[in-house]
Amino acid sequence: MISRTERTATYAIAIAFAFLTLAPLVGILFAAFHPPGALLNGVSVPHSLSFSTFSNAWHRGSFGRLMLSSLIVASSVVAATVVLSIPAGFAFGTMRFPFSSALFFLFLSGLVIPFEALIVPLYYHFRDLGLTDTYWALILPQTGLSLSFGVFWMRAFFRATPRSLLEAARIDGASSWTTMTRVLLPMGRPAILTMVLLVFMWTWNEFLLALVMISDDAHRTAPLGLSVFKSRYGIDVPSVSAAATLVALPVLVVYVFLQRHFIRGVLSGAVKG
Amino acid sequence: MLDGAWISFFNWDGITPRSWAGLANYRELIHDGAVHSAFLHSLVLIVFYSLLPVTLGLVLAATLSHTRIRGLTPLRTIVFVPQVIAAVVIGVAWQWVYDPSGPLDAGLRAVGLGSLSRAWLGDFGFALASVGVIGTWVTTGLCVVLFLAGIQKIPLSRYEAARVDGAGPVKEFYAVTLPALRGELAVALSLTVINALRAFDIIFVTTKGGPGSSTTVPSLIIYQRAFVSGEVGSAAAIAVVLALVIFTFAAVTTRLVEVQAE
Amino acid sequence: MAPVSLDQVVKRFGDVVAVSDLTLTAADGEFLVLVGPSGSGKTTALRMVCGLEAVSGGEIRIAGELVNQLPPRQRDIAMVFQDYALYPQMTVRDNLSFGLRNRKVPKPQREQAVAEAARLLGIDNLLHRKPRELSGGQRQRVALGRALVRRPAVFLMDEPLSNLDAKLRVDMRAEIRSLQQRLATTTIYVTHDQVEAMTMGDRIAIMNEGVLEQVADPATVYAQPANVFVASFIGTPAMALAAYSYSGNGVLRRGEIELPHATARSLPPDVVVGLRPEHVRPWRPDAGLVGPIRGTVELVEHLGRESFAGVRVDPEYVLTALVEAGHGPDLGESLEVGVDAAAAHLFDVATGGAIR
Repeated sequence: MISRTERTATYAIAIAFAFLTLAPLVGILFAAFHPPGALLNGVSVPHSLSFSTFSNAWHRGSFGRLMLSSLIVASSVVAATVVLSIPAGFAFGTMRFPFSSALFFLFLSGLVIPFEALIVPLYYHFRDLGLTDTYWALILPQTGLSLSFGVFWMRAFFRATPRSLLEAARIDGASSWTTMTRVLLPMGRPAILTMVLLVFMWTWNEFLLALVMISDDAHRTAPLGLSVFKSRYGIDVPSVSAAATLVALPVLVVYVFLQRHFIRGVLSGAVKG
Repeated sequence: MLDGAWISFFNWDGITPRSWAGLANYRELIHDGAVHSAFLHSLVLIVFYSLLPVTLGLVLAATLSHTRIRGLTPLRTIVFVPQVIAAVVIGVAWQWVYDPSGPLDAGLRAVGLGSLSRAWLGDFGFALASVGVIGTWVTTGLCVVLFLAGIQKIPLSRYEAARVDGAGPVKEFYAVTLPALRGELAVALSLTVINALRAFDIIFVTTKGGPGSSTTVPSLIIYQRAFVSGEVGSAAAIAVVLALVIFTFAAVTTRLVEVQAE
Repeated sequence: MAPVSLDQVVKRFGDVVAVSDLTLTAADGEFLVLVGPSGSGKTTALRMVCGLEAVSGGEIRIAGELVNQLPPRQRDIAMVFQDYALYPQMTVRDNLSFGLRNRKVPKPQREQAVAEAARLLGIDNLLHRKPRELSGGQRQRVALGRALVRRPAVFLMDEPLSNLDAKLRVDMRAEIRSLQQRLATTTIYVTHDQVEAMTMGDRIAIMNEGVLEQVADPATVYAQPANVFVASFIGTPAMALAAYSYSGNGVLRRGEIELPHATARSLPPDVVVGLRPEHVRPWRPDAGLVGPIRGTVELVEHLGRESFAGVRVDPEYVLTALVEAGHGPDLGESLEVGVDAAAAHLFDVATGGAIR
């Protein structure tokens, strides 16, 4: 039997762990509620819950523009990934065709090779094509990268589908299109949702790519904007904290509501990888 | 089409014509002290980003699930948050934590250890470790969640059999939990090590490799050489080396996992 | 309602021959059971009739029409899968009507067909539910309903009952059979369970390692097995088979056992003799039995109405005897049995084929 002390101790550990995890984040949240330019010492709980610093930072850093850019890039990448990885995953997962393993390995390698290694040639390529400082410079590479994950993910899903189900649909006279739309996709809703969430999160948080590709104000994404904001107003802790909170907020909000999917996605993706 | 072009990048030997002015770039790397120390720093970061979180995660996950407490799901949600937040934000948050006027030093002063307080990220000796701690913070949650899930899959009957056989909690851990988590362990290790090797965002935002060059890492050097100091060839060479290291590592771990899985 | 004929059908997977030279016809309205151990090729044969596997050789005809090249949807067949293969995100109603919808059957006919099928199978109160809300038996019925609803010419069933518990299986057997008789649809039914085959089929086709061993009605297969495989596969407990020698004097001999056997033909010097349990009884002098044959009881099975005893009569020969329930011998006991020699089955030692 588990003793009382054991149980209390474990709860204590759990709470301590949770506290340590949230502390830095709560810390800057608190900081963000202070008036801009205020000098802080240690952790100080804000006196008032005024959002003025937030709106101040928003305007000074043109976060409206930044959020929009991030949104455009993220949505495009998500859309492209979904549209492309479902058929590809279906092909890899259910059919056998020559070179399929080689091709799949190609996609997989995208998961392993880091941006950091490719960033140099990528930049020069895009510069030559005149694509730097455009959204394409961000969308294309990230779509490619997300496809690696997406194809892998959808393939795993399709593989897990019982063959008899597809055969039953064939006998029932369903064309490939009907089978896909009326049988497979409804079944795949959770898997697709998870993929959407993960790709959205990764794309939104991407920093290095934006840093290298974008130097004008118009196309800057949120994380990059935050970095710029910080180097400009670094001493103003409350303002920078407010900016940081703003950048983290969208993904965080989605996460809180759909965390089950996020975690499940990362876990099973990792284990299968 | 463009996808195909993109994919071709993956297999493309990313060296611009400029650096083909000799494999000299590679040769120089062998003697390049800055690159050496960058990779060395990466090794240190591996300890912080990978070994530490994995160990901590294992112990925590085992402890938490051994004593069936309630509230594991909310806990899981909370500790996973660092994985969701953009690295830049994390950098901002921790920069404030480490600041002389931030909570860490304030806390030290409060408990009378004020002599230990310093500008952590600006300190030649402690900067790398400080950055490492950030990595531990980010990754431990992931490991805990990963291992918790793995432990959930272990049938209760195995633990009960161990208990009947008289095993205490530590024995249980080594006899039942650890062997069953081999797969998860491999995944955790490979993911985290690769992340350590890639680390860029947080370092760029917090120290940019400083003070001096005490927190440089390969990816940072690549960036600097390619886009700041104009040594593109060298940067590309480093990039290739980095990619090879990561790739080899991934291949090795995958092979190991496959062997384990039998 | 159409006959299905397979003519010298062959199926090869690389070097492996899964089905070899299968020639078989299911008559219009017949319930034909394909039975055999796993790997016998019965499921492969079924899938070829269905169109899910390509034919490596030979011809398959449905209603006289050659269907080798036709995809499943054009063959007017329906299949019931072992794991039911119900569409998980659709309601029962949608599961049933899916096939009709794909064939562009107009709504009123669709609804009527679904209602009728549901009524026939007793699932009309489940139409709005999803598969995960149904029990195994209910799912099975929906799978049947999906096949029924299109009134195809042929039903194909791939071990539909193997995922059900024993009692349910027995009930469903009867139901499927009576349904099929009502609809008079040609049905090819695959199972590995010989009891199922015997109770359900108009005719049974026994397959082993891709080869058709015998096809006949249950009674014939039981009483006149074509070879050793069929003899030992059909019938529980299995027929006892052993080698005997014949020296031409009308008596089959094995060790001390002598079985007189009147035969119209002369026998080879070595013969395999098969004896079903009901032809081996505890010894009584005036029962018309040959014996006594002494042995040790190694196995006893009490089945309620009857009991069986496995009696070892020599180091490599165990005779299974039918004994009266309640008067069963004990394990290890010595028992004398007598044999109804005239009922013995004789098989060729080399080919395994029956000798008549």
